[in-house]
Formats: sequence, structure tokens, C-alpha cells
Amino acid sequence: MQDTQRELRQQIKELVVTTLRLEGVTPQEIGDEDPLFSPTSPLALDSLSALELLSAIEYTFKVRFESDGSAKQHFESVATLAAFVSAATR
Amino acid sequence: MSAPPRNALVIGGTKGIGRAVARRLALDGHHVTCVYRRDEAAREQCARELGEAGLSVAFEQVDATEPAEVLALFSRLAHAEREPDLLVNAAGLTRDAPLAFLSVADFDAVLASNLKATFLVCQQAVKPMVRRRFGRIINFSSPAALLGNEGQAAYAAAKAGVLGLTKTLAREVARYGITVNAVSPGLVRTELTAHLPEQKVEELLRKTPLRRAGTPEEVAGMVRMLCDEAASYLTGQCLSIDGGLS
Repeated sequence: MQDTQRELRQQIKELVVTTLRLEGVTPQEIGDEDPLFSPTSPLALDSLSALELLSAIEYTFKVRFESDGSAKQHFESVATLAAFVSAATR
Repeated sequence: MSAPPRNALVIGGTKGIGRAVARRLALDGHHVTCVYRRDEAAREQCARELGEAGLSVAFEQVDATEPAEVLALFSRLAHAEREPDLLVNAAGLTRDAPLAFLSVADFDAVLASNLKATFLVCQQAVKPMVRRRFGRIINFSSPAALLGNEGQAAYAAAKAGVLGLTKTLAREVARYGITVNAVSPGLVRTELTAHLPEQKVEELLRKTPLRRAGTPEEVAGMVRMLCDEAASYLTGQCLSIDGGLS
């Protein structure tokens, strides 16, 4: 993996922890492919908090998610979010 | 005004009740952006009237039924640091016809202008509100949503949809200090109601305990109240401003 992609994933993990104020979770403990909002996610994130994370990602990386339903796919994991941000800022 | 000036976005802000809302919020010192769809003459008249009152508002021409145009609008607002703290979805469209003669095209147009546009704008507007932990959203419903109204199947359905959207969004974003409410104006003499036959107007007035039509300013005053900092414990509600009709 390229360094930039690794750094981006790390930034997103930090954003997940700080934005959602996760207690007892460090960015390092979040796997690149861990499901974020699925019921099986070890992070046990509340689906309604997706709005807060989406807003933070748009603001931080100056990107915009479309209203076509694709946002849900981008929020599957840190890896998919990083891929979206990379593509949107290219 | 004791409250801090906020960024306000008024969809349908160049005509009728929307224009009165824009004027009211601008008078309160808020930074108002009016969105209009295509009527340049109405925009010019609105700008002139507000200018004569010493008020300055921004204008954006946007078809709020188009997702791409709404996205682009919010990108421009972000760039100009005018992302809304206050959002008023006042745009409306009627295509009245009895069910037998209501075309699918008209049904779709009414749903798009009244409901889809409200959804699209709300979806984008809540994002900066979430970050700021503050927001006031006021959507426009109608007495027809709950009472029904002959000849307004599409309009009534759309405005009932606005109520459902309002109540659901209120629950989803309450945790961020954002309130979402609706207003339901009764008969108010604007371009939207100008096509009503006089017989229908008289019938509506007979059913209205206050026995008169409301004014855009009366509705704007209630919208202003819902936008107020003090309205922080009111969400998911619909305020009927209809002279007692409902």
C-alpha cells in the first residue's frame, strides 16, 4: 500500500474516534476492513451517528457525498472511505 | 436583537410567504440567502423591495428538485461561508385537478417541488448544522395534509409527506441541537393561491373562525419564532397558522 493511502486511512481512523467520541477505542485498534455501521461491527456504532461522521469527512477533506445512495457503500469500512476520499480529491 | 446573527437559507424566498420570511429574518439581522427556481422578475422585485428597506440578501438560482444543483448550491454556500444555521423550505407548487383528471406528470411535479426538494435541501443543510451543534429547520406543510382538500390530491399527499419527513428528521438530528418543525399556513393570498376560484375562497373563509385570509407577514412572524434561540425545546411539531381552520 502506498504511504499516502496508509496515512489517509490513519487520518480517517482518528476522525472516527474523535468525531464519534469513542471511549476506550484507539485509532490503531480499528482495522482497515472492519465494518463501521453494520450490526456485526466490533465498534458497535449507532447508524444515526453516520451523519456526524459524514459531515466531518466532507468538511475535513473538502469532498461531497452524492445523494444517490452510494454513501452507504463508502461507509462500509475505513478502507472504502479512504478509497472514496482518494477518488474525490484526485 | 439579542440573538446572534445567523446564516439563513430560504428556499422559495423571492415570492409570497417565502419573501416575507426572508424579509423578516433579514430585519432581525440574519444573513439571508434566497433560493429561487427561475422567476428573474420576482428576484428583481424582491431585491428592490428589500433594498428600499435597507436590507441586503443574497440570491441563488437553483432547481431544488435536482440533486446535483442542490449539491452545487451547498458547495457555493460553504465557499462563501453562508452555510445555513436557519433553513426555511417555503417553495411550493400546486397543480390542482380532481383525481380523474390529475396527470402523472402533474402529480410528479407537485411531489418533486414540495417534498423531494425539501428532502434534498434538508439532507445537505443538516451537515453544517451537525458540526455547529445548532440548527433550525422549518418546512412548509398545509392544512390539506391532514384534512384533505378536493382537487388537491397531489398537493395534500406531498404536504403530508413533508410532515412525515419533518417528524422523522426531528428525531434523527435532535441529538445535535437541531430542531425541525413544520408550519401549516391556511389561506394566505399569494401567487400560489391566486388561481383559487372565488367560490372556493369564500368556502374556505366560512370554515375559518377568524373569517379572513392570513398575510405572509403573519406566517413569517411564526417562522421567526421557530427560528429563535428560545425555541430550543420544540421539535417535530407542526404549527397551524390558519385562523383556526384546522
